[in-house]
Amino acid sequence: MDKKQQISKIIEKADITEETKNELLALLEKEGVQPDTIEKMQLILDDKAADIVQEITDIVAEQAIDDFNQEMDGLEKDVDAFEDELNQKADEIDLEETRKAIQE
Amino acid sequence: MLQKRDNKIEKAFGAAPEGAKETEAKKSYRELGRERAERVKEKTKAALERSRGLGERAVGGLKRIGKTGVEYAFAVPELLKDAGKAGIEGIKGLGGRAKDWAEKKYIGMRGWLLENAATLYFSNETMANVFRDKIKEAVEISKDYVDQRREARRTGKLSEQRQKLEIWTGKQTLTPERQNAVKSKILYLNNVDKASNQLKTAAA
Repeated sequence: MDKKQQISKIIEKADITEETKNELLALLEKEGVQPDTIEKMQLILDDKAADIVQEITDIVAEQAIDDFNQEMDGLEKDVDAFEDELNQKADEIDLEETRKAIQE
Repeated sequence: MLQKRDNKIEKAFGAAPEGAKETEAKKSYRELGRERAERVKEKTKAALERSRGLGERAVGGLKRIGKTGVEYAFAVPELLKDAGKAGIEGIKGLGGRAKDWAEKKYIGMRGWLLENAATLYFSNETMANVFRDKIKEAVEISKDYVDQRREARRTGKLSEQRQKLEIWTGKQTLTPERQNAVKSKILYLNNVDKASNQLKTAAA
């Protein structure tokens, strides 16, 4: 088995997406086995790895956003309750004053 | 709202006989004199508008704190200041007992803010800071990984770099769905690393 076949076999057997395999195989097909071919392939895989890590850290960030939003929702509910109470009480006070004025 | 207020005013005039509530209320107005009744109604309306204005102004700023999103987390201290200012201005617009009550209530609210929200936002362990730190940390982890990967690959330390990432994700408190998603992605990263190592070996 020559080098090209050996590399092709490694790519085909790898547990990576078909899209990535095709990208690597296309490079192999285009260039054959040049001194820098493997390095180019590894750079492609580096990009894929960077995307995966970005996705992982995005998940962690999304969790932080959800946690924060939950806290904020609680705060907003408290504020809404405060607003209702404030307006209700102010109405009651005004009505009481009105009643007094009517009685005078 | 106006109907509700009118009902309250009617109630204030005394109990009306069954089935004749509206008539009795109107009679009470007439007895008081139309002009005076109208004046009282106007006063009530104005007072109610002020009250509602107080509610809106006092909590307008506070409510904005409740809005979600990254930009708010970074703007919270300013929003709290706005809320405090709006609340005080709203109270100034009132008079008499309403003002007394509102001040007392607002002080209570401010206390609540200081106890919960302000502590939450201003101390080193605030939610906003935790949130900001977490986002910052996630961005840095991602950036460091990319910056260091090529070197890790050259020195045969991809596995070490991946383990470092795995340890970090293991420390995060995530929902089960997110935990599974992260595990799945780390497994895939392992496959990518494996392929990279095999290619390197084949080239040697």
